[in-house]
Amino acid sequence: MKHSRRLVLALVVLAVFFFLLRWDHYGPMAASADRKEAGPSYQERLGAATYQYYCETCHGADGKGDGFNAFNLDPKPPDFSSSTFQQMRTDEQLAAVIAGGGPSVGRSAGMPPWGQTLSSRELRAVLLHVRRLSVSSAGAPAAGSSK
Amino acid sequence: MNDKLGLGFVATSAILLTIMGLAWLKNESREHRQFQGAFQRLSQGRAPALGSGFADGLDVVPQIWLPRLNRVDRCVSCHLGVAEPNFRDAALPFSYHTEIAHAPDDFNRFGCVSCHDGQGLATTQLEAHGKTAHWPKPLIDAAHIEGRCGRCHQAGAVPEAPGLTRGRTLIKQLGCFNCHAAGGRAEFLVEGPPLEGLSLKVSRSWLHRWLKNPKEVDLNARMPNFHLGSSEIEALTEYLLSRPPSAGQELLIRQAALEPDGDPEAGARLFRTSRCISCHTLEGKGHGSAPELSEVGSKASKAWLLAFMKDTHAFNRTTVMPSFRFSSTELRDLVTYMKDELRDFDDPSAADDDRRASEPLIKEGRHVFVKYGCRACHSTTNGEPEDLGPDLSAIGDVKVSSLDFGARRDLPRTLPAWLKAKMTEPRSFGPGLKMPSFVLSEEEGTDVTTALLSLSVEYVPEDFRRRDPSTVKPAARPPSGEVGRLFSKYRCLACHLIGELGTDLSTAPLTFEGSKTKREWLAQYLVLPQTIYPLLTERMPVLGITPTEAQQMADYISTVYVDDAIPARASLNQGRNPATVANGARLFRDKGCQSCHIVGKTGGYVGPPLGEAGDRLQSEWIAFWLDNPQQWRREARCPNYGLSQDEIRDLTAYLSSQSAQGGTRP
Repeated sequence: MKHSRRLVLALVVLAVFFFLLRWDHYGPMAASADRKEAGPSYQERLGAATYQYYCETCHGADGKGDGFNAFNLDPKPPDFSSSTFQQMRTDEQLAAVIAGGGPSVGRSAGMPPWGQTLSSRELRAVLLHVRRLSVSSAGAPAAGSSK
Repeated sequence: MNDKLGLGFVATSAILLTIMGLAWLKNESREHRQFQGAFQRLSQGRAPALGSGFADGLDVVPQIWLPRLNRVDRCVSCHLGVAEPNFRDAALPFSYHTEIAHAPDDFNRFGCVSCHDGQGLATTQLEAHGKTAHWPKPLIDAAHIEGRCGRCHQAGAVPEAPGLTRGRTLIKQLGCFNCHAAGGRAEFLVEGPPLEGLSLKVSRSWLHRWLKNPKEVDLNARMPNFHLGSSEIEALTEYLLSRPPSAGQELLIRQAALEPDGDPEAGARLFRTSRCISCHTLEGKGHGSAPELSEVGSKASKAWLLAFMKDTHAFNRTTVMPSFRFSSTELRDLVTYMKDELRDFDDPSAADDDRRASEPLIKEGRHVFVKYGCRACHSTTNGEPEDLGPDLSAIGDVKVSSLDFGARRDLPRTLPAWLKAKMTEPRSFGPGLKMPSFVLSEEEGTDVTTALLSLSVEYVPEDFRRRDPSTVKPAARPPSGEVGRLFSKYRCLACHLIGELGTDLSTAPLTFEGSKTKREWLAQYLVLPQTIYPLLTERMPVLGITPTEAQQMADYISTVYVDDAIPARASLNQGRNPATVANGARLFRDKGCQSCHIVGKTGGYVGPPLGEAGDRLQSEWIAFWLDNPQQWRREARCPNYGLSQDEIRDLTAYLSSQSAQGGTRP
């Protein structure tokens, strides 16, 4: 039985050899953390840029409703950084007022409609940016933001 | 014997079986199979939404075949959810592609590698991402990926790629292509001031400080820091001061030196009302495209300032500064104000300026001048750019293995990292390098690197190439004849655009100005421009244009620079009656226009005040704008309200009735 023991040994060695040969490449789902370190996503950047270009003059850089043009408005723009505000509004409500303007939801005409100026992609990115304005100031996501 | 044979047979059979088993096992456990298995498990819960049958029978290597690019991208054999919105929240590699202009619609046109780099044919993660030895283009990081947008979007602004756009603007400002060759180079050249007769303009100590570090002297300085040694500075200073002025310049300066002093207070008023800070800065306040002026009195001699401002263009043919047509009294006042008030009160200003440098020192200075390629920007004789640095036309295609990292052993071995370090710390690679330092922030470094990565000579099918619609400006003729001379005299194109000509410092391109404003208004505005946007620092300077000249220019603009897309609407003027005006006023209020515009005493500061809209704007243009502001200017902030034709008519009637001669006019 000396032969068969040698045979088994040879087979085991072969098997180990084959697996080791390219096992490093089969590395299970070591899937990349590549993307996370790269900073804000495209959508986040688009939202921030769109907000800065169209909204900041009244709503302010931090969304506190303190843009340079806000002094002239009555009623004043709301404070996006407050978690109360964020909880009071659903995504649908916010989307409606951004696209249709204040009057479309029975609010002030100080807020103009952007639905025919911005693309649907930009509108969605701005909405998410408004949500993040409370995330960044409160340090944690607002409860209403996951709807 | 038979026993032995039998044993051999069994043994070889066993080995064969094992090898076959191993081969099967190896095939089954290939990396993409594991990903596909995990994807199938992941998609169990989401299956109904998956129309494409991904979930069943995934035993293939899905791929995107791009015959026109002669390429096959197999990235989708692991990135299985890229085109499935259902996988928006899935982890990599299964997540849905971030929504951008081209995804997911254009995957079958461009594939993956066109934008991301990497090795499309590979079927293992390491190889596909190109992070193996000798693969020339590994996966590009997200910070620089917009550089790849530039493969097709080959020039100008790309609104969806802000980093690339900023980088391209920076390349132009920094003057990279003055020394480096690249495609489309001619559009990017900057021109430094001529260097003849410097000794009549600046002091030796000022020139010393400037050559040591221009940004230290003036934050607006566009000249980079060449890190010259003190002996090099010494020699270069003497060489520059030794270059004689042209005969004409010398005469002008000698004459100006005899002028008496003026009234500094009148000069200060003139300085403010001429709106010098539309281009210059005063203690940092202003546009900053021209030098800081808070210490100009210590920089330039009185005679030089007088002679230069008297006739800027006779003095420097290429300066973008307009001719202001100051009277001699005004000039004296202005320069006296500059010499008295706008100076460095701590200036150790040396009385040593009469010292005469030795010939050998001047010769050495000339050597320094040539060595660092000063002529690339200060070329006073021929306008041809020189190739002092390497050609950049294909810098985005360069293989990492051919890059010289020199002393920078700390850098990751990637092209973006190398380029960024070259931009931000060019001298850190080793001694003997000549590229100067442009003071760039972290973000600016990333943006310029992104723009450089877009410089490629790889094959791109003609119909893939894009110029952004907003940059495709109508080809406009520059003004010619008498008006052409006026446009040049007042350097209108230093701030305004006409088609692709000029710059966009001003918010009002002149391309179709004749369709927008009224001729009479334009003629008086050119003589005495009142501010339209009160918030802007950069306002139209008071150039001293005479009424006759202004009328000529207004006539020309109104006749030539018009947009035929604006329909003539006779009905607009006929439709103006008290009822439509009143309804327009109501609409103005109800739509919330006063959030941004002032009419009467109230309103916001985002758009221009409209209290005199009827004096300034043509009715047809108002209606065209109201119909859709972005059809006039794509980047207009005024939202499109989707107004009906009746609403447009009434609002136009109301706005056209707004006049300086007291509110509503018939």
